[in-house]
Amino acid sequence: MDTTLKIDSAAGPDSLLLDRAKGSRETGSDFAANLKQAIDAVDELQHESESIQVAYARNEDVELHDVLIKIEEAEVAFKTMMQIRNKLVDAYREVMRMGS
Amino acid sequence: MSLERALGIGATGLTAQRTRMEVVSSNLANSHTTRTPDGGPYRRKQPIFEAQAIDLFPSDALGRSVRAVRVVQVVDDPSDFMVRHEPGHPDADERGFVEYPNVDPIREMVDMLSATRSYEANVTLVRSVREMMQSALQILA
Repeated sequence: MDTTLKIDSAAGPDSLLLDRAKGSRETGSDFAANLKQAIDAVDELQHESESIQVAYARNEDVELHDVLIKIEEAEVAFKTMMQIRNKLVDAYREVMRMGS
Repeated sequence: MSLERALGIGATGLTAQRTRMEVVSSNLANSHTTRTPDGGPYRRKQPIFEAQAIDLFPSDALGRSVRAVRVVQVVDDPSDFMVRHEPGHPDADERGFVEYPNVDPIREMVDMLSATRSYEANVTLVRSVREMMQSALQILA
């Protein structure tokens, strides 16, 4: 969870997301809310990546390498999320196997 | 996370070299321009680079010490114009001499190659950072 949030906040000026996540952790909000925030953060990156691609296609003042780097950041964030998701599902299966 | 910071710094390097390429293309395209809005022939331009503090995570000590790069300004080269004797030219002076830009195509070609190589170096850096991120993801896999 932590990793995903950090990736997002470091990727752009949106350190707000990290602050928000920190705030919720301090107030002791539940795991599901944290998870949702992390997923939203990854989603936000995907949207940023998409909008910069559209901006480039529209011939706006966007650098080609910035487009590609943004795509890469979004991809890494998504892959990190998938890794964590896989870990969570593994843990869930582990727990479910306890009965048998 | 510093890997993103490395990516960001690499991106500024790419932007700087792209700007340098623009300046070189301006110089090459105008290597025979005898008229400009300011009067006189075209003056060779050169980009000035500056190390720039990055505002990402300023609280972090490493973040305060590493520097991105940016082109602060593009200045004119004050060296003398090349003078050629062409009495038939409309821009010739009363003695028949025409001032041509102080652009040396050979030097511009060298600058162009240098900009291309620096751009490639920055791309390699970005690619390496990307590979580092991907291998970090392998920890959980």
